[in-house]
Amino acid sequence: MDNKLLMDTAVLAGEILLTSGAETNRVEDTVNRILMTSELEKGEALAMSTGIFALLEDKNKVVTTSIRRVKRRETNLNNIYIVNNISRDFCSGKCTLLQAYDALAGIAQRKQYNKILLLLCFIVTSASFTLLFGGGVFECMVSAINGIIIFLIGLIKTRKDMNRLIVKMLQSLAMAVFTVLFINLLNLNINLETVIAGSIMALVPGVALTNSIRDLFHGDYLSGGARFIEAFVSVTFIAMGFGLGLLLGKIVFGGII
Amino acid sequence: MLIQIIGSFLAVVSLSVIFGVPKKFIIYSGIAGAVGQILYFLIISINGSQLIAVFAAALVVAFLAHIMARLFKAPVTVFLVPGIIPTVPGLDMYRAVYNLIVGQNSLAQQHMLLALKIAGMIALAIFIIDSLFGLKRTKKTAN
Repeated sequence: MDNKLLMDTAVLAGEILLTSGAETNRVEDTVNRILMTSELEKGEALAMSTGIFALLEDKNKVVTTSIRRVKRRETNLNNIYIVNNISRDFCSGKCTLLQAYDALAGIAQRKQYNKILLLLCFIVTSASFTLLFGGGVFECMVSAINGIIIFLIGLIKTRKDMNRLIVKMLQSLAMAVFTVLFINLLNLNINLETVIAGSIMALVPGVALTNSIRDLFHGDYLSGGARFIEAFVSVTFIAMGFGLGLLLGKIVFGGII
Repeated sequence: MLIQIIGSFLAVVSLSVIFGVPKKFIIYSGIAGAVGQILYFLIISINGSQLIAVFAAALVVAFLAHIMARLFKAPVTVFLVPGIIPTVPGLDMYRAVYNLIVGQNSLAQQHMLLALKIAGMIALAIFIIDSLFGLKRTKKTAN
């Protein structure tokens, strides 16, 4: 068996999992399983929230190692599902190493949902959380517009490769400024609380939150702690964003926020 | 009540699309989230304790996510992440920041503490379900 290709396949699988937002435990497990299919002396993998190290050692003590630093971080649960399936098929012998590598390399170009559907989902998310927090029809309509704003600013991130935290803060800020202006300029009798609280729910770092809990539980204190800080910092930036928006409203309209 | 159930189902489904859940599982993660929210609103209307309601909702969502993951041979994260979001204390976070800006610090503290408590409850629920299913797995490998 080709050790080099096996190593590349294992590390590529790990890299896709890590960038898509899988738990560190799953990343390590997957890389280890793929490495173990070779009947060599030793196969070890170590994954952290920022990168992967993997090692293969044969009988003559010839060692193959690979290090991959992962910088990009996004959320794509579909990629996790696909990589999981590929590694399952490969480890049970249903597909060859080359097929597995090609399948993994093909994931990167894949786009799952088109932009219009995503826009629609941001609108529905904002509006329905406003509904859940006790908002009426008008509140839902305003937060639907907020959903559009959040989506449009999110597009900048994919084009310009900006810092994710700054983008989150901008989304939250723009949404709050729009809401405050809209309500105060048109003099509408709308509950600001349900609109803004409903709109920020689309920005909540759900993956970082759940993964930090699950990583800590598995004993991965390094990754779990890192994820926890990521979630906390994200929430702080979101809070700063709409806080600034509210403050602006308070200064311009004099306390009526 | 019916409106809230439909609202939570729609919210979880659209969040699933944003997080990129595979097409065939979207409906299931929506169901998991909606069941959690139904329980949440039921407990709120009976007991009134938000902490217990969040704990129960997170518990049910995590349990359903583990069951579905085993049924469909998919990672638990796929069902867990969108389902758990509606329990996240967004409203209390907003109130904390709002009161901070208005200048009512004690109210801000109160809501901040409540938000932290709710987050702790979610963590506890995920811990419990994860360890329950972990127990089952170690038993199987021992045999």
